[in-house]
Amino acid sequence: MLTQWRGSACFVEHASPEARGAGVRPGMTLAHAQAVLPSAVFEGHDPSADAASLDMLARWAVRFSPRVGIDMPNGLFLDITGCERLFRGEGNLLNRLVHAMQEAGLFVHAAVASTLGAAWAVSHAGGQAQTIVPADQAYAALSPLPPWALRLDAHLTTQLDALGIHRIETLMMLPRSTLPARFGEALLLRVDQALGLRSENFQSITPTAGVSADICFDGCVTNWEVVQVAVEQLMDRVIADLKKSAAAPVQLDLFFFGETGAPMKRSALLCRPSNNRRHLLNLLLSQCERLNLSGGIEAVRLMVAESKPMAVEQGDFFDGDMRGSQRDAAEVLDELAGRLGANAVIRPELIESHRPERAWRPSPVTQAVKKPRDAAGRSKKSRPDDEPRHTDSEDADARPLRLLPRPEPIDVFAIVPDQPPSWFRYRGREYRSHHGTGPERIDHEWWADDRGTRDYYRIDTEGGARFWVFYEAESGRWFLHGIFE
Amino acid sequence: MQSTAPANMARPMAFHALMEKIRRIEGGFGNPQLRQHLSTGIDALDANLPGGGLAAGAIHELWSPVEGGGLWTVATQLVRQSANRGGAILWFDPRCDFYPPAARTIGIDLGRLILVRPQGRKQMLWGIGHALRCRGIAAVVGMVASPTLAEIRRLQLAAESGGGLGFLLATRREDVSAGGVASRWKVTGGRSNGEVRRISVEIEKCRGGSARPPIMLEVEHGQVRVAVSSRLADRPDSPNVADSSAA
Repeated sequence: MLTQWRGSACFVEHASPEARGAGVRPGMTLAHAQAVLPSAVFEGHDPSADAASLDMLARWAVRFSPRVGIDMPNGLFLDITGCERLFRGEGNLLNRLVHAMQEAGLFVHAAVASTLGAAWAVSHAGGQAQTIVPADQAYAALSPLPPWALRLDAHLTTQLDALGIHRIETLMMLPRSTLPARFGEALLLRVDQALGLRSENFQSITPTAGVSADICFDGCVTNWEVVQVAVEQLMDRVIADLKKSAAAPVQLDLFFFGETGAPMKRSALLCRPSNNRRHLLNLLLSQCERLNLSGGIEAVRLMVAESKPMAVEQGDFFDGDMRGSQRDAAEVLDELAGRLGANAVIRPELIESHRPERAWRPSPVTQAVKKPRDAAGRSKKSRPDDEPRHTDSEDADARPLRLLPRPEPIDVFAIVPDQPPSWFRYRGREYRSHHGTGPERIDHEWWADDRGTRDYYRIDTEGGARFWVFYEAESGRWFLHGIFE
Repeated sequence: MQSTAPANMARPMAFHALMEKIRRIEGGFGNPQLRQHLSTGIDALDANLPGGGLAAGAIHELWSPVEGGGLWTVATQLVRQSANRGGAILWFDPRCDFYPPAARTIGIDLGRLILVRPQGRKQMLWGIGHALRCRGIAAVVGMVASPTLAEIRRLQLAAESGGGLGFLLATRREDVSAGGVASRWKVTGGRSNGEVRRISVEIEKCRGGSARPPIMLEVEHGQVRVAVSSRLADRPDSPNVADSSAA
């Protein structure tokens, strides 16, 4: 039960289904509600927290459609035009959406309709958890609903109510021409929007990420050249659309819909936004080399999964006097990432950590891959100061250029306490120590699940090599961790 | 081209033109007028290199007979210098063991460093060639086991069109290329005393120049300098090495 103070009294703003069952109604005073249901738990209503969770929910819903809009205070709009193909039908899409929300403990009403107005009306006033209104039955679906379902303001609703108009059906029977004069322009607008006589749009939370284009073939196509030409056409359309908003893609998704089975998806990731048609096509088509067309393709859809304003310069590794070749380098990195994998082309980011293996982390150069961390904030498991950072205090010679991904155990001989081994074997070769520097004690980090304190030594061998070994007190074993290559 | 030149000038002009032509066919290696040469940042090394530095738009090879001898340290020094003009640095890291924090302390700008992790030799060769062709990439470091002459030529052509430098690193004698590189360096660990690291660098071959005796380098606090004259460098065990360099 959520409450809010209005004047000197505290009113119930929202009540859970259980509370409603016990007779609590929104609009009651808190004292009244507590009399009806003494066990009720109440909390002050925080509209801004609601808005924040709605925003989070909207971002989550992007998985169902690239165009998601927020309908304050408690609704979401999803433009699923074309998206139903990905879920094999509107029914499946709606089902998955509703179930996912219900599993998250949300109370949800959802409706699919050909207009925003009809979907709003049916979901808000229909009473069903999920409804699909076929395009030709919008009128029939709206008829039994009360007029407020047309998104009318409270004043208009009471006015209609006073006139005995309790159903949209009744409203529709009034002569259309008299409506504006009697009730104002707003009513007719809402009616027309619900029936699709006037178009209506909503503001998407991802303004340009919805840009997409499709081509449906007549029948099934198995010829790659035909598909390729289609992709090229789609690219022209998408680029033209994006240019209007001065944006360029950083991730493009290409979907191939077959007659049966799930659609095949290919993605192109970019390390900086680019409008270069040749480059974008090159990236996408190179991903399609091993595409299986034997089943036939019915339709192709090109979608901008993420875009950025063209003007924003993100890169920093192209400073100096080579600015003209910046774009070249970015394109080459995209191509490398496209062929070798996004995780194979990385930028190093330093992190403050005692453990040498955690003093940096790889970050894919392609921006779209970085998105989850940027958008959703840092993961809960992140360490206290898990921020890229540069420290200048460390000794330049203290760390090896080659750090083995996993420390390797070594056989040691001639051990003196608190001294590095004077002889050890690593990968079948024996090394005799000439000089040892250390120990440098590196403790474990309390928030990480590693154990043991390590005593690191830098060993110069007789053969002129320099290694980084450590003694782990807990296991009593020696490891080689790095090579001063 | 000089048809109006007097008759007695014709012969030297023709000779000059011919020499010029030969130099061009040779690719201008060792000639700063025909090809850009980049300083290694170490005068003694530059003096040993024809053209006063590393030839740009070319493939250079570094190899070491021992693991841990300082091969990467020398490579980072050369890479840092060749990236002075701007542009990105691509370091191929197939074994995922490159350690950026250490690279930063020896002067690599991590903002310009990209690590590439190819799988297998084929991807590595393709990646190096692809990156070298790009003008915005100043230096590419890769490891290809025993590249053939044809493979080196392909990489050389890529470097030629991009203008950057390609470095191939090999950790065994068997992995060294069949030839065709602009220069080949042998890197060996010298006797180090804990604080000062000694690395011997020998230019085994160099286009437009000749092989040179090894030079002993010293690395301390991330700074690379020449230890002693190349004559003395042949006696790394001498206890006076450090003193004479300080003098």
